[in-house]
Amino acid sequence: MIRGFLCGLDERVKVWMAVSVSAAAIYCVDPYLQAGALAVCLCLCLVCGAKRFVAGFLAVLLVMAAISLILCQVSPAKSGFTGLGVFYILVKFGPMFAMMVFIQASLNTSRFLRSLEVMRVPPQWVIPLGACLRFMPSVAAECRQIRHAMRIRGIAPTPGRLLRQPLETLSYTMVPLLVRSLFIGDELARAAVARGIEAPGPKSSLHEIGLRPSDLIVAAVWSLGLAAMLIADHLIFAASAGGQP
Amino acid sequence: MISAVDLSFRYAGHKGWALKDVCLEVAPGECVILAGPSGGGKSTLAKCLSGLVPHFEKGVRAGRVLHNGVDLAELAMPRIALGVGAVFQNPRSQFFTTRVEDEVAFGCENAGLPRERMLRRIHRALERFNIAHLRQRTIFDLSAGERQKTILAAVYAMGPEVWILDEPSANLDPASMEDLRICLESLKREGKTLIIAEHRCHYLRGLADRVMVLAEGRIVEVQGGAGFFSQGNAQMSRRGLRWTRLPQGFTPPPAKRRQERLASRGLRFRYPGEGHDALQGADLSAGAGEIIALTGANGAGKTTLAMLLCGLFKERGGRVAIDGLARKAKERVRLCRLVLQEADHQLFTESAYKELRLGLADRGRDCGRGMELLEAIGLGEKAHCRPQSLSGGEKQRLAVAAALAAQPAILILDEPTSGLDAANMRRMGELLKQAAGRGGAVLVATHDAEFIQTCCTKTMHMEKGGVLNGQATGSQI
Repeated sequence: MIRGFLCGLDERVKVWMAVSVSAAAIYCVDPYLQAGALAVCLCLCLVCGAKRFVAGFLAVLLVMAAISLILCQVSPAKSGFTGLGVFYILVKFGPMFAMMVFIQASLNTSRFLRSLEVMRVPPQWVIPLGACLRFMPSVAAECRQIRHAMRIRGIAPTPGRLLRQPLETLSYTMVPLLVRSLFIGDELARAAVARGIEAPGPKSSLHEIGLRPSDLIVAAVWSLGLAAMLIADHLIFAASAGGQP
Repeated sequence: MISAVDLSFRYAGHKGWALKDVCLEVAPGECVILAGPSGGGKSTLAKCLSGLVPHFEKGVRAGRVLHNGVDLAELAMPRIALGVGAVFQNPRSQFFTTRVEDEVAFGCENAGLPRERMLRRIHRALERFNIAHLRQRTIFDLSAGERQKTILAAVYAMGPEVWILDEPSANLDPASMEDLRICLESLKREGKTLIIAEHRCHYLRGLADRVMVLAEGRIVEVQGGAGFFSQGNAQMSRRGLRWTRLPQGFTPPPAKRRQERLASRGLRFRYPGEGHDALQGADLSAGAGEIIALTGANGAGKTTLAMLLCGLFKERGGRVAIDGLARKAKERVRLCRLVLQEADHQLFTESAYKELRLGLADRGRDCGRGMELLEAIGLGEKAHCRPQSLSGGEKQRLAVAAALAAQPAILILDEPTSGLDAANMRRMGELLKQAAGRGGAVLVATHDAEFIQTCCTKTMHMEKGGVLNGQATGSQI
């Protein structure tokens, strides 16, 4: 039920949630507030069914925490540059990654594009954005195939190979990826043109476009929550700096 | 009615004409097949008839394409789209949205149809192609056949009178091909005009009114559908075309006693996050010099088995032995080579020769083997060409040759003839025979019955993640 509610939210609200929390988490200094934002974002991912991402992310986080704890014991001077540093980056940028997964799992591309059109965003922006959103899952699938092909030819981009032959390995990865991306982009554009995407007049929509009261409430609660987080961060920072914000 | 008058087209940056002085008339309700070798101009003619030339493809166009007496060059593309629908080879790269219902609605939304009318059309289109149950599904979860039906429904919802289809069967298994045939039949019954560019036309028997054969950009032959399909397979082969009737069964060459090179017992594999095994105890055996066709519907587990045998996936249970020794996935990656369906995924370098050098077992010492292999696949003169600039058939042969350069014990290919014309398909068969002749075992996951008959020594049929014993029957192929 919660999943249905989240996925049914207006696409603009979802995008606002993703952009605002990512920016706020990066802006915040207090690690507890950042961790709180991350926890909320991971919960949203869980509700949308991205269990594997959440499990993987938490596993990496735990490993990094363990490494930094060990380093603190063994060599306190170096711990800040290694395990702890990566752990901190993950917590700070984690909400951004998590919300990308949330958007991927819950965004209805068609409804989003129509919403933008209703907001009078120029078609020169809307069409490429639509192509990009549609293109991303295809690129992920292409990358998987290219990785298979590289492994079987013995040129997989392993850390060792990247260190020994960085340019060669990068070129082996990028050449097929670029060729396939161009090909898919061309096919996608051709199919869209053949189905009238360039029509100049107003377009209609299968979906009801417009903000409902539930969308407005969610957007307001979310924005207030983030505002509270930023104020709290400011106060904590001010207190730690001896009352000088 | 749709017609072409003295139509010629040359792609921007190309020297030769892709189409030259083509004239044709297709009456309403008629079904016309465009056949012929790759590079003959089928796809270009399809693009011209659907208005993509000159509205999307850049180049020099002469002559006219008229739909109901109006030149398509004078109409805007959104207007043409309402009268002429286009379906391309790969449905996956034609989806602009990510949900079936949204995709079917896409064309209607562009046309600005009111919501109520749009809903009626979507409902009708989904019912028409029996995919109403897929309405809310994401396109990434659909099978190849379901994707093809979705794109047909999306075009149907726009209500065009003329349908242009470019190799619609290229990625389909036999059952999905039969479904496609039923869909096309029903469109024809409705009075739609169908123009289908296709290599493998056997499934269109009884549906086509006329067949036009294109070669070197010209229509070289026009035949009635009945006359074209009455020709024997041998006659089609002589003319360089794909067979018009599929063999009823597979006739293997006389069996020889062969040394076993590859054996798998009870192989099981599960994709992460899935609740069931994609492979459920697959057993198979391949001897030196054998070319085994692995048949089965899309989703039966052919590609998964191929990935697992060559070590790209790790088994959950069972074992794989090569030359009598049980091998782990890491070892199998060294001993086997896999050629993926899409050649572009596996071409990495800046010349065909370097591509082969990269594949050589000992990259430091070429000793002329790279050139020798290039000559063997007919690409000796293109040794210094960029692999990406080669034709589809040439790329596919280069990918196979690059795999052979490593002299693998086992060569596995996934749908190597998808989209290939008769000549390229036969060349591919010869290449595999050479590979098997050197004592390797070759495994080919394919739906292509003609290819199987051309070069395979044995068939194995897969169903629900298991290899069934014995030869595949004609209908299974």
